[in-house]
Amino acid sequence: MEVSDLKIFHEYKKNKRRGLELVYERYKKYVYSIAYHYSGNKEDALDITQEVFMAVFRAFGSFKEQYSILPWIKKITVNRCLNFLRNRKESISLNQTTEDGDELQDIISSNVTTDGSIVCKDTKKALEAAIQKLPDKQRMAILLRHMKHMKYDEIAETMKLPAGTVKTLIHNGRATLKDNLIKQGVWEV
Amino acid sequence: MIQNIDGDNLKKEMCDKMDTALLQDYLEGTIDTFEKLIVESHLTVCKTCRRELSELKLTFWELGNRNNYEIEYPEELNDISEGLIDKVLGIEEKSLARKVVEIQLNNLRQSKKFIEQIPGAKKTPEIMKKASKSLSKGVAREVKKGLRKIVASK
Repeated sequence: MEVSDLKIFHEYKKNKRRGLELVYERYKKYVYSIAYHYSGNKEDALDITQEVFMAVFRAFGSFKEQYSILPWIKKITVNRCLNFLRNRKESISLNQTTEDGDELQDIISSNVTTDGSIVCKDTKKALEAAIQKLPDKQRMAILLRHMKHMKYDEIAETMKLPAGTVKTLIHNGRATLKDNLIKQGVWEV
Repeated sequence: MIQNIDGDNLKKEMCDKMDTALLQDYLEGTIDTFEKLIVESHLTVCKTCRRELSELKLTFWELGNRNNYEIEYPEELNDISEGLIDKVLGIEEKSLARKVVEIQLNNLRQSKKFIEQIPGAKKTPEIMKKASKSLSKGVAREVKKGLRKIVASK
């Protein structure tokens, strides 16, 4: 059963453990879904989720009751996602394989055309793959806008970027996604 | 503006009257009435931008489709919180071996309680003894009968 933020604060005052458990229950899927679509795999998504909640739990005692928890958790999630992959990038190898067994270097260098050689398994996978290829900030901005339905100014605040920058990230991200989906032959255009 | 796919190379067919950002804003409904008029009148004469607009619409549709973001939540997601809360609250994480021992002890306690609730559970050893005796008598009797029949048939 989902409980309100107010209930969480009350429970936390009575019993810290119970309060933190409720925070986790309420927001774990939200955090994990962003982390999963951002990182593109389960293991990284779980690591990011763990980092986010560690930060949330540590600071929860000083969080003021009059604010709602979600925007705060969003900020931490976005921040941890961006930092996580920034740190990981140094160790990424092009010989790394995807779940389907394709090597990254093959995917990057492949010339996929509409009339062509690759028929996508489905649109969902094609979109996931296209989102994964976006630069980090574009990817995050696109996910917050379209998956989490956030407004531009909310995204700007969450990502700590000017609204104009966020708009540009989203415009460019969509244009790149469109081209990528066409290349993958998702639509008959 | 529009990008046509020509073999392996992307060949750009530009429309310098409008950029893709304006078309995206048009689709999102975030441009003012004047800009909207300009875009719409341009679309009536520019095939390239009409095509771009169609492709953007499809992209918006895919991005807005909730099914495209559905994921499976792994079991591990339910196991993360306990350790984190222990750490934050300053309780040392219990070792795995200790956890296993605790689970086993708990299972034993529960099993004992369960057995105690079974009707007649305390008389079980006695009943088992009686049952075993009756069984052996019954088997011996049937074996004898069988032998007699074999001998008679000869």
